[in-house]
Amino acid sequence: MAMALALILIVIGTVAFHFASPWWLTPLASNWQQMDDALMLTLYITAAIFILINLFVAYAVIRFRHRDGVRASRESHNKKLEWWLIGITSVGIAVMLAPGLDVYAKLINAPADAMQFEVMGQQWQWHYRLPGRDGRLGKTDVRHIAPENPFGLSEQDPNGQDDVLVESQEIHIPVGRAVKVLLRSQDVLHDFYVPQFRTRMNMVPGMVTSFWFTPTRTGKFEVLCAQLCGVGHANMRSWVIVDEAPAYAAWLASQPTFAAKKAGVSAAAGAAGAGAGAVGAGAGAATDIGVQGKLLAQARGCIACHSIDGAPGVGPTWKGLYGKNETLDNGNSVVADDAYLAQAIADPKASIVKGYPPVMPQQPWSDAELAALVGYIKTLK
Amino acid sequence: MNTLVHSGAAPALPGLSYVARRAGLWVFLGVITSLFMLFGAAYVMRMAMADWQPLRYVPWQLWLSTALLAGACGAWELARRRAHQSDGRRAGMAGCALSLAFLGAQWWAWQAMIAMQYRVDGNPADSFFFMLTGLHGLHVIGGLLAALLAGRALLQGEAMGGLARYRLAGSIALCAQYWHYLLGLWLVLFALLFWVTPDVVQIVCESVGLRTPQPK
Amino acid sequence: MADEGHEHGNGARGGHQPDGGRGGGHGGHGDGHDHGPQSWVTKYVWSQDHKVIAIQYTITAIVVGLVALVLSDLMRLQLGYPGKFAFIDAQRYYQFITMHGMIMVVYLLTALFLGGFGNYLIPLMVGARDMVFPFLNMLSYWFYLASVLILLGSFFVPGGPTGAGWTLYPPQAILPGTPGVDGGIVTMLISLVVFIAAATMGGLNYVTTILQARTRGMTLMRMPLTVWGIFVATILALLAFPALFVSGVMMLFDKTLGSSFFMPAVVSMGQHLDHKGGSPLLFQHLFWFFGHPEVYIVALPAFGIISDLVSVHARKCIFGYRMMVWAIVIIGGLSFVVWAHHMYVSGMHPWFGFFFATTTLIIAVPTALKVYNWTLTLWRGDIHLTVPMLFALGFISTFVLGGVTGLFLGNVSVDIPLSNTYFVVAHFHMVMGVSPVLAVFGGLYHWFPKMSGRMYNEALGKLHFWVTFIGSYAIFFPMHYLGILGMPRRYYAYENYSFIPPSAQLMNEFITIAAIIVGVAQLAFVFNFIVSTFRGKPAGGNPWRAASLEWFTPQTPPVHGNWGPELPVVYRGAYDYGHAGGDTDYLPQTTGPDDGGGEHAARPGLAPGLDKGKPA
Repeated sequence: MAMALALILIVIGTVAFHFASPWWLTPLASNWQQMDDALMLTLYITAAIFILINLFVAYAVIRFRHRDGVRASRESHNKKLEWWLIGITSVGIAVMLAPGLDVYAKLINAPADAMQFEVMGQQWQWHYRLPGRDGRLGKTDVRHIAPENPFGLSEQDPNGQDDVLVESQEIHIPVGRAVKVLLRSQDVLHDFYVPQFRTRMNMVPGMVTSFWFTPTRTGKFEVLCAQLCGVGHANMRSWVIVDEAPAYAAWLASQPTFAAKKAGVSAAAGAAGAGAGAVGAGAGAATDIGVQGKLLAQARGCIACHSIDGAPGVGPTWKGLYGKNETLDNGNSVVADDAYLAQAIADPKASIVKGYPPVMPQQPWSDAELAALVGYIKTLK
Repeated sequence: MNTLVHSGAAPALPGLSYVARRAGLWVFLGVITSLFMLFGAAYVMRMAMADWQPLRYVPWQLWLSTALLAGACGAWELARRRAHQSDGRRAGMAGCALSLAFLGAQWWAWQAMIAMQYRVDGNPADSFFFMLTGLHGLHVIGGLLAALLAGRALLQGEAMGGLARYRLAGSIALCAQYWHYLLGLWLVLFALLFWVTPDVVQIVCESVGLRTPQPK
Repeated sequence: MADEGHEHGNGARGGHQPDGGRGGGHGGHGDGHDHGPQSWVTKYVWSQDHKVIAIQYTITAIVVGLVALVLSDLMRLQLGYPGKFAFIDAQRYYQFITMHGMIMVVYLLTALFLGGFGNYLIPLMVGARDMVFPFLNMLSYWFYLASVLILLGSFFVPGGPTGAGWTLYPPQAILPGTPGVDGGIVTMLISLVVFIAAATMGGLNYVTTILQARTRGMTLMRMPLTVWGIFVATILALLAFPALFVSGVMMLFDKTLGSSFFMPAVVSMGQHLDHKGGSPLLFQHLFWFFGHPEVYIVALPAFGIISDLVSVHARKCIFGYRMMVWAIVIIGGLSFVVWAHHMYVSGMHPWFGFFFATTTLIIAVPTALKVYNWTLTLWRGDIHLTVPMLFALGFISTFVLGGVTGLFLGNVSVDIPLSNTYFVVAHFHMVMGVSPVLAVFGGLYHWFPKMSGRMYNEALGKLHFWVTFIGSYAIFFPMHYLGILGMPRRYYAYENYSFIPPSAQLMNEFITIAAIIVGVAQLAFVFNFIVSTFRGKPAGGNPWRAASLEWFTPQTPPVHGNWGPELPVVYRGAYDYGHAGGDTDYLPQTTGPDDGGGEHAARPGLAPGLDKGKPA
């Protein structure tokens, strides 16, 4: 009896939970309403099955509970009933499958006039690239990948010269225009997932994958990596900002091209302690060194592993780091002063802090950038 | 009343029955087939990538090893036909010896490949070569161990009773079946490694509709 | 009159009498006959008796399962109280998830259903004295134990166990950035290879015994559905584990020998590596070609066991035995052509999505039929709410939930936003973790009296059931909604996401508390079984009045050789219940054709004189 009651309460409870739950689909921000419709159809049908079967079992448990002197029926099968049930089930399956396959057929065919942007994944940050004025993305190869060329763009390919290389962990796209997202990875599997857009795809090293959608409203949407990619997986964060056309155009104009970046880098290498140019053309005109450092930390993915509020992460937290006594894995103790911090950033393998894995990637830093970062760390008390 | 009938005719211990042991062997052969079919599938899928470089060099030692394995197979077949007599058992021992020689020839072939700069961490076709021949060799070693186990009474020179002889004859027959399988498997692997090229795969896939015809 | 079999009713733990005659030996060493009194070590440690091996498998699986349970509670502590437990850092968190998943799927569920239930029940249910290859059977247990020890050994290698997720996807599984890349991943792969050897040795036994060693009259269509479930699951295991072996060997080569089966050219942590041209997708195809049948290797024995539990405890023939057998066989066959539904967002060719969505939804049909038939067995039954029946009913409820959420994930476009979110985690826990585990418990309680001659403590059993059943709903039902919201799985922490409301963190806390309560409640089961084995009330040979053959051994617990001097002969199916009139409502399988009416279990239409469908 308790069992029948439990099953009935489970049915009531799950249905009530469904209606009371504050956790549901994020508000749709793309054209894929049909995917939500297919989900809802599946929900109705499966909920009906769940409720029916649980209630049927509850009823049977009550009605056919053991009573002295009463024995079970001898019936052992009923071919007709079983075939009817198979038939009804098959119809239900087909009713769910057909709309699902229909929207899938649309999902896999991007419109010919969709704009494109490329996402390159790396443990544990994102890089974005746009085709530039010529509308074509330049050729890339893994062999060319280096800290100053995270996309591995080929110098030889003229199409690549005007490719727009987005500076920060934010990509803007214009509202209302179909966009095909091209996905690559330089190391392991990642996945570009924005829940509000619904569609997404894995990023596979050695391949270019893609998906497409049309953003239907403006806003700032979080990008999550949705394929386990190592210890920094949960911190690999980025944003997609859907803009109205004028705002988008303004943003696009402010992003550097591949050619411009190359020139900027060689200028920095030549000049000692150069100013704003070396910090990155897209970082804006901010002169406060703390702000520059903060922007750099976001752009270069430092915050994927180093928290600024004391929370434990893949790497040591920056809060209160400056001036602290750190123990290295060889047992030595060192004070985290300017010199130490600069070395730790520029040459991560030189010394490892005890208790942390030796996974910090090496990136190229100009002296000005190092100064900005260390300056930022100093502000985090 | 329950009626429990004396099951006098059937052996009390199904494990002794040749039929049961043969059934077990066939199930095991099914498992090995599944294993190598999957490797083969992986091989063919890998072949589809643009950077595939097929194996062109066939070390002559592989022809030697094929002949030795065929010889071992023949010896086991002879052993099976004479399983109840002493020359059957001797043919079984010859089969084992020839299989050892086969393994030696395979090892020699490996050395020849390495000398020609085909290495396990080289291009994928090379990796597959070493992996597939290595696993096949492991299965030959497994068979040798089983044969040794079955015939150890013989090797130790013990006098064998009738039941033990009967069982040994069964073991010889099973070894013969296993060795025939190993030879067939080896021939398939040999063909796969050296004669199945991306073009062949393309023709087969086109003919069953898995792929669209490519312009030549 | 239907005889309840030779019940030696005192139920004391039947010792191992040295069997006179042909019942005793097991042929493993070729010397055939009985071996007289054995030392304790030969009898209980290096035993070749299928029942001892089964108990060894069961105990080992449960122990390692408890380890995995603790790991899951540690994971939940981090999710419920992020950052509060300093020793659960990101590295350890990923190591815990990986080990939890791999242990539960492979080392607990597969080993327990095939090695535990399969070993114990198959010879008893088909009327054999033992497995056909007892020495190989014993070896399979020791290989299994070795694989468990190697796996647990990965906690002690430098760098600790691998944190790549139980799916072990390359490239990250063998690249820095993932814990365990030094020794953990290699240890894991070696352990899996050893396990596959064990599973193959065991599997050969189960299949060959079922095909070759059934007693007279035991046709395939008279076998209990437990045997059918384990039989088909074993065939799946024999054909699917090679795929794991293949992918494991190739990954070992990539890691240790530098080959590039799965490794494309990558830049890892700033270093260009030597690999070139490998395909991560190749690994996924191979892994899931194993991985999908693997879930049916777990589910099919569970289905079989539930059929037997429902039938015995509702005193009614399982509804539609023939269709149930066909459903098991068809599900087994179809399970080989659905694997890429785990890969809808992997980047594989999009057209595969159509094919696999269709096959995946088709496999729902025979599965649904099984659910209908269980419920129809209850209809017009005589339902006794024993502990095994409670677990069986709990199975039906939770399996329906887990199964229908599979319809979301099988439908390719509905899957795309849900892939790699908590919806998937909730689905596979319900359908692999909760319902088969309820079936395991139901089976263990049901056959405990057979194995020990004693009865478990009823109150503790009911407590165990209620906490586990309700608790599992509390843990996993809300989790679906977190997944629909879009919360990804395998995240160490969720901080400052604007689309995740703070209430989600509260939900995580609630789930953690429920998980810990359910975890602790399993102690009731462990305690119950240990104490009842030594001090439980004697249960007699057939306390459930079941009709299938295993309940009719001359001694309980059955001794070596199971059946005494003569093997039983079977005249009917295993589900002959519902007889009106007389002392008992069932006929054992060994009842002769003249002694209680014709057989009705397997053929359509009943023997004349028996009513069809009339309530008793």
